Amino acid sequence: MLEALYVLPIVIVVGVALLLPVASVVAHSFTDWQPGYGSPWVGDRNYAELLQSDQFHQILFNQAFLLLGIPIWTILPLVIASLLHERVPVPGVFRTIFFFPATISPVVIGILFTFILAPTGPVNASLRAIGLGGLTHNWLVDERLGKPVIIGVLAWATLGTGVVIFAAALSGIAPELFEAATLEGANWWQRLRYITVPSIRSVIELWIVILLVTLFVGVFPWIYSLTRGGPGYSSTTIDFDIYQNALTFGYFGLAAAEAVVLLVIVALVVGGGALVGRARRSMA
Amino acid sequence: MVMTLPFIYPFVFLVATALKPLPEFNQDSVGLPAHATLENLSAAWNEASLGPAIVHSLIAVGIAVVLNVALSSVAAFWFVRHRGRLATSLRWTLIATMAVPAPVFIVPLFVQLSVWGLTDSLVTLGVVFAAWNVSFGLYLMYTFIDALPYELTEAAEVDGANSFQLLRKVLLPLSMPAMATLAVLTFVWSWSDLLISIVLVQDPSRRLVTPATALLADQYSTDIPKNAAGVLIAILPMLAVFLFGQRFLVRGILAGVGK
Repeated sequence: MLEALYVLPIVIVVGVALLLPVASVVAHSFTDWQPGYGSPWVGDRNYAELLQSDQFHQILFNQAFLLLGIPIWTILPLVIASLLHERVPVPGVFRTIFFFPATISPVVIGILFTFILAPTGPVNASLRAIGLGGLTHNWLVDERLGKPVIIGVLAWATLGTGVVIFAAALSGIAPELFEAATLEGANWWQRLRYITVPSIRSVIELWIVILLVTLFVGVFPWIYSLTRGGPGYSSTTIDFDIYQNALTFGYFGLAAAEAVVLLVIVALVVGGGALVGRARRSMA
Repeated sequence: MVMTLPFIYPFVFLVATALKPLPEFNQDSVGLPAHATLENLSAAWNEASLGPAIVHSLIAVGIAVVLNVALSSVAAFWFVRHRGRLATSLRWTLIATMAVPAPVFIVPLFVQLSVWGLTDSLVTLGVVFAAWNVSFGLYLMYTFIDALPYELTEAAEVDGANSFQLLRKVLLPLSMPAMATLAVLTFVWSWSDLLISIVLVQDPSRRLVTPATALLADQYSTDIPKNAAGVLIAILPMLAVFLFGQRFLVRGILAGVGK
């Protein structure tokens, strides 16, 4: 019985820091939450307000737009991992270079990119230097460019982790498969298409699930450092808006409803990913 | 190879900018510094109180690392030996909290901790960092201990070891590689965090290094060289951790995807 002491601490820590807050946020999403004061029950008013608000529609549109990044964030590391796998003498060195950004805080990388993309920064300076001055922009305060720029910065930041994961998966494929295909005259693209992708399909699916979850719950530091959700709400995401609503504006009830929406999205993505995995396994 | 240039250039640019006087940067943001100076570094260091901030980060993150490794290993040991229906569903519940993201729990947690008077505390922050990472820790340690040969514990039990001796003398020493992986990952993830630390520690005199860097660059300041110096100072400890712990980071990430 004394052995229960081995699990008691973890149960208490997780219970107090994670599970109680989840219960609290669900309950408070149905109230006009005023911490320190009464929180009167308002039924589904917070949810109704979200559904009708133009800002929330814009936020959902932004999240949908960012989904366009998923193919880029998947294909880029896959192609690089397969190039490293087949053609490079010292793959470890290259992997190290790509992987280092994965160690740095997202917000710190975001700040670094605000310098690079600043009006006087190297991107605009290079464009001017090669006579393309007409293409210079104030990249981070342009309503049309904010989201594509975020997708680009995330492509840079997620590459290393993707390469590490795909490289490990690739090393599990029998080299004879590639050799045989090369002898039969398959080119690099055909080997990628017909050997690599089918062999590591489950890892690719898992990577996509990780990206999807990150896209909904882990973009806060990127938005905070790159655009602050602006101009207006043109690059605000749900996780950034939760922070903003609760900590900046004091709309705790709305923030709670948004947190519940996030929780449901994560459950759907993770559950959906598990179902796809199971369906494919049962077909195989 | 050309492919790596976009991944090296931002860091070359960062170092060059951090060493450039502001007027020179405004003339030429691309080139190497002609009149290199350490003034940006000392200005950033003083203005953002980066010295104390690094100490605060080390305290909170240190608590998180020790607590996470301890809680995860001990609980994993218990779960490997208890596989009843109740214990199994408890294990799955704890591991499933991996899917509870910080944006969901941070607001209610902040409200509750304010009521208890526990905000603005590095100890609280360390415990929350640990709770945030402990589901992954349990998953990692359980998978590792579960895969150890059964004969090892059997032999010790035949020799009359109790569960505490078994844990201390046999399993913990064997689990060192997994614990090192977990320690490095917890360090990097907690050190990098912005959302949790910016909400739970709002007192400027207890700020951690990541939010301090973010806020230095935040104040509508156009002094890019000074902000770059702040970013450089924030990155250097991570470079050290990376060079020393890359192996563990890679191993941990691959364990996370079941490899």
